[in-house]
Amino acid sequence: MSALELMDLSLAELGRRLRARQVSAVELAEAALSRLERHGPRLGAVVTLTRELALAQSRQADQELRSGKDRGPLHGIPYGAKDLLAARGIPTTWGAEPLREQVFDFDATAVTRLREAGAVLVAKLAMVELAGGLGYNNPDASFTGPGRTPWNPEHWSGGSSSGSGAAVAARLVPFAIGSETSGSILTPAAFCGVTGLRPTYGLVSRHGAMALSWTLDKLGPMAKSAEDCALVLAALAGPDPADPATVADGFAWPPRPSRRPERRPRLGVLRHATASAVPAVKLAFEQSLAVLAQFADVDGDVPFPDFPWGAAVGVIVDAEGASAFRELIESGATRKMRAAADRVGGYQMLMTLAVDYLQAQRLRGPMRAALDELLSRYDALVVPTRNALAPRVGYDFDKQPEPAPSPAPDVKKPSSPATIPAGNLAGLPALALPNGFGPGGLPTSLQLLGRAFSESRLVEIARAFQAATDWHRRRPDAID
Amino acid sequence: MPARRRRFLQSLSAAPLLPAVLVQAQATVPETSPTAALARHLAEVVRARYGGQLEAADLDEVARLIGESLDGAEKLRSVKLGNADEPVTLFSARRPGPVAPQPAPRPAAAKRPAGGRP
Repeated sequence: MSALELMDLSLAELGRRLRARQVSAVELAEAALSRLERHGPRLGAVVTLTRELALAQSRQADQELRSGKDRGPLHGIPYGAKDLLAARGIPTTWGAEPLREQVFDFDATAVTRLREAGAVLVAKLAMVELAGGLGYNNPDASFTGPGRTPWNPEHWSGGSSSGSGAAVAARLVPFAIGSETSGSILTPAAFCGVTGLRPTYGLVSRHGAMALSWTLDKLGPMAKSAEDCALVLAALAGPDPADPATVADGFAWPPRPSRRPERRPRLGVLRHATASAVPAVKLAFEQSLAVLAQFADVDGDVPFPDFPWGAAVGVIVDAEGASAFRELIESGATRKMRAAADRVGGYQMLMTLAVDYLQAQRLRGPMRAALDELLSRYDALVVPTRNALAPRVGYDFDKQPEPAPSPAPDVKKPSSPATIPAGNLAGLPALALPNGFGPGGLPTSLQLLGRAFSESRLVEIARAFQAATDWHRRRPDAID
Repeated sequence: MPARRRRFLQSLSAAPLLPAVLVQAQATVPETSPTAALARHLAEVVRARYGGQLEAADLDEVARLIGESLDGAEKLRSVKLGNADEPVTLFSARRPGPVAPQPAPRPAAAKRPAGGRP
């Protein structure tokens, strides 16, 4: 079996073959390393290959399986971590030129938990510098260059978890870890045609992860399927004294059997869900609704609470990011950043008014209440993950999307609900699921947004959707 | 981060008879903006604190970003808040008050059979 075919298998199938001795953990690590080495650079997906560590961990995984010690579904499975997660003795660059030599002497809790679950770290994956916190305005915003989607490398892989999305899509690793402050898992999942799971705020420890916004940052898995994401989340989730935001809730997958009878999921389609969408996204979304209706009750035209979602996220990230990176900005080091906008953005952030920051944080109570009230009636809200396809590398974000939306942008019309900033402000879980392709072979994506700590229900819905479709099993032809 | 968190203002207008850097800062914020004066002053703070690190064109860009940021912050005032509405400090995604039963914490990974139910 080729390295590509191995990396294309589900986590469950990889685990089955490992336990049947049809493949070894060392062979899987070598398959991942060879593909990362071959394809990673041209996709702008890799910062550091962790070859020595991967071979040591995989040898240990094989030895343990031979001796009867089984750490669970991730035992012997290679993975990549966004390069904002500390890994002892290995560079952790945060995607930023001034920090290329940064090395920590400890592991992030996420890295520790995955190691304890038997997973094998094969690479630190590329990301937008400082997770986009300084306001980048172009895909070329990492010292490794722009991330490229394997479906069409002339186009962006999304950010800020650019390498995580591209590496999973290109079958360089079976799964990866990303992070999200406001869209950084969902966007690359959408642009790369993979499944991304943004967990509820506080479910996964951020200890050892770069902080951009302490009240918004989250870590989560990216993989081919929702089922694979759930297996990874089960290893990651749980309280951690080193991250005071973590909660006692865990996450188990498969979920424990319920005593209550299974009921059809209830889904809410948001009013104006596709108002800002390009035609390919709109078409894929409508086709997905027909699939969802096969196993769920789907309500249409559900109004979304009206709050200044985007403005609130902007002020919070400005204030917390300015504080988190104050030393870096004031030292002048951010003048060496790749993106022009990032060379000046920090100075503006330092001028954020405290009263504006507190106003934004005060709004989060009513925002959370409004979304919780809405989600008390639904298992999930459904919208397109992104309204546009991946833009070309070199595209400035403050220009009109390609192709231009129809009707022309000066015509007054409603806009799509801002579910990404809203979901992040309220700390809610979401899944991005591949649901089609548009012009240029670029993927489209469906978002499921759920109530706090409803990950199991979201994954069940996503699993049913993926059982009825094969978008998540497609792989880019150009990456052999 | 959302890719379009900041949008750059499109047009500039110069004001004469002011120090060059302040002219640039002032020129970047539309006079019609209710936050224009504040943006000019904050841009001057940036110049005073960090002017040695920034070129004139950079300061001009910073001024524009400050104006845009302040305009965004103004939108937050559209929502009526009460005196007792506290800011989030240590945020909890769970809404305060009674909640539905949640799953128990997961068992240790080492005790979980491969691919089976814990």
